[in-house]
Amino acid sequence: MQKKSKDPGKRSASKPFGRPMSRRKFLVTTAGAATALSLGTFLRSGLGATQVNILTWSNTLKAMDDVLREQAEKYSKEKGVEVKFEFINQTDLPTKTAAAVETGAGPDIITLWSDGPHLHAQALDDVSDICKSLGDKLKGWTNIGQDISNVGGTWRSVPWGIIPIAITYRTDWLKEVGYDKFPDTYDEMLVMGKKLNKKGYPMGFALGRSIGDGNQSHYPMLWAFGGKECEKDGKTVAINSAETAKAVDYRRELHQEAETPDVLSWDDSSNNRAFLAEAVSVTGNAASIYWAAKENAPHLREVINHALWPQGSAGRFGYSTAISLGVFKFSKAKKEAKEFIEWLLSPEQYSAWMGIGEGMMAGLLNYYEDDPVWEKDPKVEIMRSIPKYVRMPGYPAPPSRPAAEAMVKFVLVNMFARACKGMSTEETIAIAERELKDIYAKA
Amino acid sequence: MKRKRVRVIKRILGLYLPLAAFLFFALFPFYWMAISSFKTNPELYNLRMNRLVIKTPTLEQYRELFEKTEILKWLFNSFFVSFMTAIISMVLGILAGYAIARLNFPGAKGFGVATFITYLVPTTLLFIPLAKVVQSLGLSNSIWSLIVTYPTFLIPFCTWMLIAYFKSIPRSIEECAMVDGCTRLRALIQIVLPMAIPGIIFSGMFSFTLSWNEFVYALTFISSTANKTISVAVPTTLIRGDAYFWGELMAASLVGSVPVALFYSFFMDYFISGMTAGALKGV
Amino acid sequence: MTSSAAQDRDAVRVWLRRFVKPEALTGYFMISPALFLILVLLAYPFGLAVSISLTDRILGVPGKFLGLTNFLKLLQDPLFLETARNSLVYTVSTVSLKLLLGLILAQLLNQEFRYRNVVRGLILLPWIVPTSLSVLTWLWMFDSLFSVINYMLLGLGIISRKINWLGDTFWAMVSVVIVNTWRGLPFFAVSILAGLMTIPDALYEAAEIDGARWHRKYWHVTLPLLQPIIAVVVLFSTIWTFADFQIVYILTHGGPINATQIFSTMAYDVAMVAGRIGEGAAISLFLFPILLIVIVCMLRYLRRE
Repeated sequence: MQKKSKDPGKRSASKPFGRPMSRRKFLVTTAGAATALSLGTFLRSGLGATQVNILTWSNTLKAMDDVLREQAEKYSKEKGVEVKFEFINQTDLPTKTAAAVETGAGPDIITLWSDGPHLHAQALDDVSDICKSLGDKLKGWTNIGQDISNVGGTWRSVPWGIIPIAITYRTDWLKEVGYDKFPDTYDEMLVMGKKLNKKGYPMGFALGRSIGDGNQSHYPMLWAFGGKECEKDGKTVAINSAETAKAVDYRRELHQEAETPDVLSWDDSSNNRAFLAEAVSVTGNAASIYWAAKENAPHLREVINHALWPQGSAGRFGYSTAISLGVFKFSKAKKEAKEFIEWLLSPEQYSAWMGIGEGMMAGLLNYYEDDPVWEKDPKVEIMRSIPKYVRMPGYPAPPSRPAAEAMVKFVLVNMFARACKGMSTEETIAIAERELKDIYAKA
Repeated sequence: MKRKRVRVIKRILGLYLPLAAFLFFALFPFYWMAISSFKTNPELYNLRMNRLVIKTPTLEQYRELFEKTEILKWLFNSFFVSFMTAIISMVLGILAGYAIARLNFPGAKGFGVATFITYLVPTTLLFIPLAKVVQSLGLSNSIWSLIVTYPTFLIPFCTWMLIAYFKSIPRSIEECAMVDGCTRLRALIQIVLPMAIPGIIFSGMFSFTLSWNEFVYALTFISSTANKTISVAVPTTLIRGDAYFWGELMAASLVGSVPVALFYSFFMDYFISGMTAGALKGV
Repeated sequence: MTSSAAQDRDAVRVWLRRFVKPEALTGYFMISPALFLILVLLAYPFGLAVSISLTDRILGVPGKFLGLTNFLKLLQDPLFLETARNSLVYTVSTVSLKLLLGLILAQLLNQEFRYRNVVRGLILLPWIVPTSLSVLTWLWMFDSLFSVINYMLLGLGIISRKINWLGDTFWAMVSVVIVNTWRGLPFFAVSILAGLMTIPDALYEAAEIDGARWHRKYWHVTLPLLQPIIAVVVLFSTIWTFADFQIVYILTHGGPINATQIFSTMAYDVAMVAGRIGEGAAISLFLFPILLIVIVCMLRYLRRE
């Protein structure tokens, strides 16, 4: 199957703009191949040979996906169970997940975004046994791993990893305004930001409606100032507080005096581009900027560094996307799927995958905090401790449907965004409070 | 002499200038698509360079595209699906349109209105229940799921177009044929259809375009990368994590656009005349 | 046998004939494939969607019947009302822009000039290229940093500071309206052009003999004749624009804040991402009854014409 579809690719590669004749011939061959293939898969699935399909996101680092593909191939050869990864962009993953949950058909294993296991608990098979066995072998699960996957005592997915989000900054520009390392508190960061901005090096934290960076920058900010969207019971909305007001005031000042106004339109990819184009000095992102600099802006590689999110009066927090692997209840290959997950997360495979990522991914088993990958590059070393600070939306309550809904409706990000656009603190918090109350009332 | 000059100026102001503006508006995105696809990455992301021209043209993005993705397969899928759905919709549209335009039977009008109303059904949501139907038909992850479902939003339009079209063909022609002993089916095939060719081609092209464009169903029903259509495959496989690889994306977009454009250039005359010859006026 | 009984029998026969008449049979036979496909693949899922909208269904979990509660609750949700307003602004402004520009463009394309067919073909391009691809191009053109539009406007001195296309609440709406207009204009222009081409020259000549100037000719001869076409095109376009998803979803995802949130994007977020498909279904079906009435009235009106 693989071979046939690769062939034409090679041919067109050697002659990228071949004669039309050969192209037509090619189309005909593919047409034939396509029918043969679909028939083949159809027959095979009919015959009941076990195949495990995994739907996952396209990683920013293609190399990481290539490792997964190789590992799946290796596994298929060794264990006689055909395992296949399908990759899809992260924005369209929810659609696929929803369709699978609703129709009871789709991949056997699905990649779930942070709170996914809580949202889709009913459709996911119990994977407590492999989680337990992995935990026993590999020094136990991190808190955040348990938070995302353990739904009321039952593991609904196997925590796969976290994409550590940290401060990415320019060391050279920081030096210009007199800083050798990144400030440790939000207040100091603001002071520094103003200096940077005066020099024409604005900071930038995404405020657009894009599920990643905006939320990842602003939940930690709220928590660090002591604000929270709801109480520990997961029911009582608690956004309207003096602490939230402090966070909002802080955010407004940061925006108006130290940040590029572009942030209001930023999606998850914008800060990467802006940073690489040397338009911002500081942003919150995964290691993907650092990694992309290798190809597109090698000179920047030297002057990029990462730092932990600053501390506020309530401590240091982070919110990073955590991914986990769930097995659908409707799958006909649950046993095989679980075996594969366990194999995939064992050190031999996992370290290879995490290692290629150079800080793009951190493991959620305590064992991986000491993985050799962290020794390789001091610039991504801080990523290893990020899982410790990460909380999920809804904190201090456990992840829940209302918390997830509040996030997709951008209640908190919008609260900050409105303030940055000039709305008064009371007013913007009042709107957020009302929205949150509506959302939490539904639960 | 002077009058001639006035006429020239008038023609420039009244025709060429506004036309140029419209063409610029319509085509600039394609120019930008093309130009972005031939740039190297460092040039693409350099703020200091002139962005409207290419300094060091490269085929690198296309090489990546053709070597590392299954883009030809996607194109083929799109063609296959669009072609099949266009044929199916045309045939069913002809049957239904002819019946409603020519035959007298209770419910004909009601059916016409009902097909129109189907356009109100929001697809952003419909795909979930529809996915269930597709699943129970055993078509998940097959391009046949698209060939079966696309006609649902194409048939209503085709039917409406063709109703109008058939109405504009004088009844007497086929009645004569039928008096001469021709069956209705033969009259339809041998006499009415040839006269309706522009209208049929128009509705076929319309169906082809909408199928080529469709996104939500194709996203939901198809999982394997190899089975995707180009409109879904490009965004879902070329956008990686939190990064857009613009050069490659633009190259793929261009590759996904050019075939339809070529296809249209062949049928342009039919397209216009299909719309002209009464298709829209008779509703 | 009385004569009235015979009459009755005749009546029955006539009535029966109406159905068994070969013509009617052929008719039913001919529409049945289309009808079947539409029933199975459209009516059934649609019914399912309606029934979902009346429950508090969550993805993968059967819901409780609520009646119209979802719809009533939405009416009290300020976010939804804002969404409704945005949808209205989006639809009305794009449809009227497309109509206005479409009328002008059709007029231009109807004149004689060299390469006319080529130009007509080129004008169609935005409409025939997959939206998912062309909108990506626009996203790249509106990019906050690399926007080529800003680059040109700045270069020409039309603006002095770059416009934050997708980041400003006002400009974000402008952006999505521009892109929707760009994409939908060809359909309008070509449809209207088709209408223009069917107007017999004799009518214009008559008007010219009466000494009418061009704008009077346009107003009194062209527009009335174009009216049915305009009605159909506007009708289709309004429906499509209300249901439009991709343009807004890719460009702004409803942002900044909620400035471009429209029915379809909100329904998507609520149903797919937060998993409340009952509420999501209610959002996307909210307009259905209103549009239904509009359509039926329009069709009646057109039929009478």
